[in-house]
Amino acid sequence: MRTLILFLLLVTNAQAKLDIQYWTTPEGAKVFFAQTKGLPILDVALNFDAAASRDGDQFGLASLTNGLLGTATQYHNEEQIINAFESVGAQFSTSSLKDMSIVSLRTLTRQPILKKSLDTFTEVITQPSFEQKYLTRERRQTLRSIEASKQSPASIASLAFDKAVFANHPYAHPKIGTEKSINQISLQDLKQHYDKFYVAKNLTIALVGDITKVKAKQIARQISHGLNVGKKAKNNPVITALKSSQKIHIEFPSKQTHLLIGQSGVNRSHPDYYPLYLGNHIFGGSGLTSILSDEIREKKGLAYSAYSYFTKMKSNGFFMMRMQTKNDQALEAKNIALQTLKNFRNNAIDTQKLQDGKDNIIGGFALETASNANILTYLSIIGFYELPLDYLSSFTDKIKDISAQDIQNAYARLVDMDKLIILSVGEQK
Amino acid sequence: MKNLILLFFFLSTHAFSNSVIGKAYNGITQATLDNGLKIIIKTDKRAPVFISQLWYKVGASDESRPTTGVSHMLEHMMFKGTYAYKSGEFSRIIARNGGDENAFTSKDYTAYYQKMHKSKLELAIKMEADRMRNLTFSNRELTKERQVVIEERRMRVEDKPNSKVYENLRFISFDEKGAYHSPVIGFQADIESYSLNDLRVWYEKYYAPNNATLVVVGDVDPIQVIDFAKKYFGNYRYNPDIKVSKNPSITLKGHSKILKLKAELPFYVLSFPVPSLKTTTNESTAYKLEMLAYALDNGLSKKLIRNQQIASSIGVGYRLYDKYDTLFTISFIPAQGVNNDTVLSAIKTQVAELINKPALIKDELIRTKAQLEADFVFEQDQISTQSYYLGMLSTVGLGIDKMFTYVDQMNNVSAEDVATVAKQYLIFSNANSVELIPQEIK
Repeated sequence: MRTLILFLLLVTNAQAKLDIQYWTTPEGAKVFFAQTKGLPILDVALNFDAAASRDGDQFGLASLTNGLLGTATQYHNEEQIINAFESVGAQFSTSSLKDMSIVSLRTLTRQPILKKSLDTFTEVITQPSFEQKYLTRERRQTLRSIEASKQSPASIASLAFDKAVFANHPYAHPKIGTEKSINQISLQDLKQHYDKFYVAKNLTIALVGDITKVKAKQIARQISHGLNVGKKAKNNPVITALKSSQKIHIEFPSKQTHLLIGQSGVNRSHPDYYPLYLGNHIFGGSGLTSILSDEIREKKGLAYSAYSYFTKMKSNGFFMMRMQTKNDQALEAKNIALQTLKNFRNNAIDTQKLQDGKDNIIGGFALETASNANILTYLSIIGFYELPLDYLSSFTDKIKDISAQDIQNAYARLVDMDKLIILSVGEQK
Repeated sequence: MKNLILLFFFLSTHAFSNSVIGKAYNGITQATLDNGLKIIIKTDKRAPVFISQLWYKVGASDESRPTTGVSHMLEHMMFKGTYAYKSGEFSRIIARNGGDENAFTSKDYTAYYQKMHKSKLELAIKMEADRMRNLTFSNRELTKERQVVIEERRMRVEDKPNSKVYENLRFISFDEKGAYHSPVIGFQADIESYSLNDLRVWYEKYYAPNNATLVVVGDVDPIQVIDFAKKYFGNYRYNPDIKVSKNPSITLKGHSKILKLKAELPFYVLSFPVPSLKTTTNESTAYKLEMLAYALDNGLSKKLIRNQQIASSIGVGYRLYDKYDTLFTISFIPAQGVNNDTVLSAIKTQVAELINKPALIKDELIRTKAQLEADFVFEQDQISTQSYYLGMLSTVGLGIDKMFTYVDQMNNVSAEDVATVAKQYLIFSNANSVELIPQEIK
């Protein structure tokens, strides 16, 4: 036994409370930094308010612009950039959603690796060169992706639901665009999109890893310095609630019918956000133990997955219940889902379920920040969505005092059974 | 302590060229209970959490008609109640205690896990131990869960053209008499027909301490993990009837199939029979194949997607850690207006170049090695990734050392080595292929 104790002394204890540092660069970029120890890694995420909701009528513009970062700079071509990242084992990636266009880097913190990967990263972001040959290629790639989404009933359903729930809002169109819109986007459009939105004041930088605050400041400064100051993008409009229910069916030759039922929702700053969050966790957001999964899967065996969620976007997004079942059970599943939502909305939650839901969120909260990757996501969210710095540390406090009545009131205010989109994709004929 | 064999690793970091790898190895404790249960613990104190996984040496590769998919069906039934906890209680209790839990089944293993706050370690081990031996099999639950699994199959396979391509690739690349031919989830006809007894027999045959490995990674005290394991698994009997299952795969060559499915995009997959790290007579061959997969993936992405633009996606895969002989695969979606033969012939050209002029990939190999070394460090960020590798390597019989020698082994592979295995294994006349020809939707 003594040998074991000696052995344990070798294991370092790196655990510490998450300390989030915040500052603004001279150019106006917001920076959120958390130092973590134990692994020689740095993660950087640049979150620009430059995504699909900024497309205007050029659907797919934001996605293409973000995707072309890394293809060329004023000094290096695509193969040189790829080689530069690969040679130091750094991971460079881009992704574009509806609110956020994200450019990220994961690198070792050892020198000279750190310097080389950050220098390449900075150049790719601040001095891109948009070239026709890459636009032409990426446009063809996007057209292929559009085709791919047309053979997936799940994708068809998601796109149709967005269109219905967001109507004329900038969230409504597919983020990768349509055949028609993609073909009309020019190199000039990409440059304009970049010049307008890839600016310091429109950027949240998240940094997580084993570096000092002094180093983090240098890095943020280096990135921000190369960008124009610019302006912060204006907030998108609020999503208007539906005036009545909408039933939409899209015929598709699949074995299952995909069912999506929902309506417009809330964002994180809505006064009912926490009761709705907890309510949905219990209703359809906690896997097999949630009420919706219990009714659809556990009691009836109708679907492999049945869940619900509120999107957490900048404008109020949507609430949705989602499941898929063999075509001739679609009606039964739909009726049970609607009845389950109605019961949840109209009746107080069982005390045990309420307590179980709180215990799950509170007891498992340490898992939310258990990796650098998770912390990075939270820093990005806190910065981009302008949440308070104590968002994480106060989260469980906000959950613990919510009553069954609070949830019921919030659902009564926000969920209207007479204004639901009921969308199905499958073979019903 | 008398029935406990403690095996500690005191390997100095000098055994490894990379200090981070040495450090990762240092945090590991291994033990075996005298009933055969293996225990692997890795301390990681970055956050006050742990993941506990229980791995069983049983999976689709142990199955045959008419009970293909029975390992996966049993995995579902493991949430359906024991003598102490009724159906669904397992999940509810873990959830109420802040846990995140699930299970997964593959060709060579079935595994269950809980991720929780460190204060819940005993609960996780206690509940997982309970369902190793005390499952109550209910026909009523089976009837419902069978439907759930059939829906899972519809979702994962039937309505996804590319999944059907891979399913068909396994049909033609592996003989039906051996492993890896059948889908992990099972044939629908088999899923429809399992009896409660089939599941019970499977459970009795494979769920015993000497066929399992408990892996815990996180902010835990290794002594405490071993004590809890002893307390809750310690009374289970060693099952002498469990034999190392022997149902090796039988790889086939030269078969091809055309699938006409309702789809928008064409898709083409080639497979070449190859040994895995477990089955190879010379371990370095497997690492050379692994490096070949990286080199070819990089080379084809550069030439066919970025430069010639004749393909819209390319994937090269090698299953290094499969228990039996496996496949080296190359898949692609041609660019719009390009036919499959054009892409195929470009792939052949690329492979020929790699064989004849290995010097051309020298620089690329150096970069790939830098990436692999960094990736090893990056993978330490998730406790679930760490526990996955430890559990999987132990379960397929390779041993956890393989996790820590991987980077060094890959560093030893030269461009000439890559050319040698390419020449030996990528023989296009022996390849199997499945071609998806899209049929108009509607």
